Amino acid sequence: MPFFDLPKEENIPPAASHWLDELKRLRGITTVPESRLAYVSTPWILEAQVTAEANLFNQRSGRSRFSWEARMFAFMLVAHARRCTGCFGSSRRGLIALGFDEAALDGICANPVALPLPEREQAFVRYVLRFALDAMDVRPKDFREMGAQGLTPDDVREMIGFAAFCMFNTIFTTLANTALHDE
Amino acid sequence: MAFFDIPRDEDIAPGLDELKRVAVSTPCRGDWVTHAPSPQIVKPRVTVEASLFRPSDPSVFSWEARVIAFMVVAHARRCDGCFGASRGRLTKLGFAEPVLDGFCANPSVLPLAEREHVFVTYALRIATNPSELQPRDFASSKPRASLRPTYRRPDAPPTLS
Repeated sequence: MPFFDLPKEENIPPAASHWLDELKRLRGITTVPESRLAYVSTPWILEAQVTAEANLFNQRSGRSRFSWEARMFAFMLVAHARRCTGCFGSSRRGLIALGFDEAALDGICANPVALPLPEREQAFVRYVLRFALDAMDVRPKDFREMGAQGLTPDDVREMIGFAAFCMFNTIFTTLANTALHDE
Repeated sequence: MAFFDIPRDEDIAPGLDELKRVAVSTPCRGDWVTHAPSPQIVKPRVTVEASLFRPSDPSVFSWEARVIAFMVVAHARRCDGCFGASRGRLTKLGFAEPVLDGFCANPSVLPLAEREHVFVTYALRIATNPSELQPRDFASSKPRASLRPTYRRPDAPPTLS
């Protein structure tokens, strides 16, 4: 028997319904993924997830300084490195919808230096991956290099926030999907 | 010259009183202030801290267990800022530095009740290796009933330390 149960519609607390509706609006979806339904009994967790997604992933805010393609590539590569099948699958679907084919995406996962993006967007993906996986190994000289590449402090703040969101999301998604399944 | 500047108080985005309160009460959090010009970063950070760290009700685990988990994760991730903040809080709770060093070296010797000990153990595993957890790990997280998600006080206002 799985450790987490999926709730029946009528058992979803109003506070959770609010955040599920926000998530649907944010993603433009009609069905909430199981990996989020798994948290309806703790609406404050849904609030944190949705607030982080709205502000750091920036689907709808119109505030991002980087392209949607670059953000999806970065999300896919962090998910791949973190072995989060849920995030990986959703990023792949997003990229396929943008016109990338599976073989090209496999090649990018195997060799993330060959991204079909302008240099500034490639730098976004490269640094997001580094911030997510090796934040402690980033040094002041790395920031000087970012500056030399034309990235501003606000650009880098967005990259840090995006990397933090990717890490945060992989934990919630990986563990919800594991706890919703039985061996 | 540093890449990020610490903003003047008047440059902190409006509507971020919560941030100012946190920054004042925990001066080690220079990183909060560094991100202050980006409200889209500050807002989720404040919400996440208020919702997930939850130093007061309705957490189902003790404050000590949460701060110890924060310390051992910070130690594993080599985050000096988080490590220092957690140590400062634990020192205020009465833990001596050598005892805290011992927890970091061997988290299995924590002076916590079994249930709280389980919390720290899994928080560390979840933070550092979530993809390694298998369904059987959930099945074996005894006592199962007390670790299942519990819905409590949906209208409880979040409180920051």
